[in-house]
Amino acid sequence: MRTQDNEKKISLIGMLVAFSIVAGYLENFIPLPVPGLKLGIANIGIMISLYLLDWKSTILIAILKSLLVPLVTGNFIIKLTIGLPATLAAATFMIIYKTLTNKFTTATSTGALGAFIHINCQFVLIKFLFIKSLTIYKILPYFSLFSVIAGAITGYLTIITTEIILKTYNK
Amino acid sequence: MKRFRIFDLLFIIFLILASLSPLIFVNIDNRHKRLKIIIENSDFYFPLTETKIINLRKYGKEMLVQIGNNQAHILESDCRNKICIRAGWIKNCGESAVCLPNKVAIQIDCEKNYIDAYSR
Amino acid sequence: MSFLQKTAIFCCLILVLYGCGQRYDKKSFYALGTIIDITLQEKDISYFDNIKTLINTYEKSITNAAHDINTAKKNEKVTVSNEIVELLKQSSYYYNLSNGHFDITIATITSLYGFPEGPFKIPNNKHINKAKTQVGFHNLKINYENNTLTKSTDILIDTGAFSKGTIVDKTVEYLKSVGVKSAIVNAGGDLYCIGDKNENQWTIAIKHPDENSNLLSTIFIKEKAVATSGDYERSFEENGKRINHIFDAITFSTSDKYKSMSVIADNTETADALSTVYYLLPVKEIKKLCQEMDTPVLIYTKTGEIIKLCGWDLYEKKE
Repeated sequence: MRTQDNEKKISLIGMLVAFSIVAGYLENFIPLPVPGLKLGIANIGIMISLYLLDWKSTILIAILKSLLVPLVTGNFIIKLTIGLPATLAAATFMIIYKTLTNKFTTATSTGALGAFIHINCQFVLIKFLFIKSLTIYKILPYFSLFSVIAGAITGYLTIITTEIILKTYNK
Repeated sequence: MKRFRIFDLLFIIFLILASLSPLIFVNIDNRHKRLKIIIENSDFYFPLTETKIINLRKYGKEMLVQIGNNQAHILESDCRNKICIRAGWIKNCGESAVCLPNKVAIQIDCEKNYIDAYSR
Repeated sequence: MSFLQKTAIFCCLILVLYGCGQRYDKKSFYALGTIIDITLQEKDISYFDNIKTLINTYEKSITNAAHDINTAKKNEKVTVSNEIVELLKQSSYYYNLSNGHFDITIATITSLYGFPEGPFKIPNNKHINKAKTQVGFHNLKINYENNTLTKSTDILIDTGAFSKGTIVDKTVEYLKSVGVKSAIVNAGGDLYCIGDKNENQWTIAIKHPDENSNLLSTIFIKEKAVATSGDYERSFEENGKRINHIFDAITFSTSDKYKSMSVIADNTETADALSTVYYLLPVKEIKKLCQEMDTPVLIYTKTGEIIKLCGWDLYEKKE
């Protein structure tokens, strides 16, 4: 029984990573007023793992997404130095948040938190490593606001997707 | 499975406020900034929030100081080298532009500044 | 009383005690070619007018004396006041301390460039070469007995390097004599902090010469002087080279190793003079000298390097 569960877990992880890569690639084509801004559809993969699997799998998927998506979409080094720590930080905070508040919150706010941590981490890293001037901090409030809302939507979509997965899985 | 609960909304509002907090602080910060104009032996204060041009002729100096956008600069001066005009816009606490020949200086003065004095 | 009420009263008490510290006021005026900021407690604010008068008087006396000395002919005897003699004694001291690099007679050359107030230009070589033969503090024959001096060549002096510091010290002396226990006298960046600020140290920031909204360093001091010498005020650019007003009397040219030099000392005249002296010396020599003089130093080099010597970093920590 354990190997069967393990196989299911591994195959689910595999599917979520694959989904993340495809979504990560496709969301580059969604036009947004600001270049570099993304809707975070790919993060649904990480969030599904958060609610259906254990925290170790979630971290694993977060790392794999951060490594593989830039390979496909380009600018690997930059996206890795900034994206990997930011995604890991977001995943960690989401894990802690869910553990603490699972009884009275849903993935909607978890997603918002993950997105908030993600964008702020990215800004801090960019300032630290690349751009020395303080002027980029002026747009952070607006980016952060956008991310929180986008993250909430990501969380909401995660809930719907997990409902569908569980329904089909339990048939 | 519940999709949305009250705590979600509260937490999201909290994150939105956290995102926008720098803007609120910058506004509070700006209200404590004033423009100090030093003319020989006296100093005068003007709020930085207005948009106007101050003519120093009434103090005996042929100079114009422009305020706007929480910044200030010397617009015109009858001095020879115009160094004060080339100093450009000033907006941070303690920043200044000086016209040596006219003995006039403009400086951003912050009330709640934790720095007691600047050395430069 | 409920716990909430007790907490509220406690908080109010704390706020009242916190607010009970003396309030300070900062007033400014223009003198010594720069902005003078005086920070005084509200109860001492009445001394501000006297301070203005004091500083203006000293400025006039120094300017007049320098004018007398500069317009005097070769070998003509000039009488000067006690204060000026003191200033010349100090000039001699720093001249020796810096092995001749710091020399107030360098004004003979810097004036050819238009310093201190312009218009600025590059003088032709003939004039520079002639001035080079005249420059030298040893060409000022000072008679300390009867307060007279004679120039053996046509030299000009400029006490700007440390006269600001001297005037700040005189102002501090005055304020202490009338019982002021807590204040800051700041003459365009050369400042002295009298006493402490409501039992805490004063917070002094050294401005970044290039980035207007940034600071090089923040220090916490009480009963100390800080002075900064830099290459950004009183300078001009010609053929891509930046020429500032601090000239080395040995090389007869503008010193270009550093963008900013800050010094902490026990009085402002020392801090002001040393900030110029160190500005003219290489880092190795500054290291030796600052230990001898026991003065912390902050150097910002042309290449953007920040060097802290003789305990500067200790002052960056709050007590």
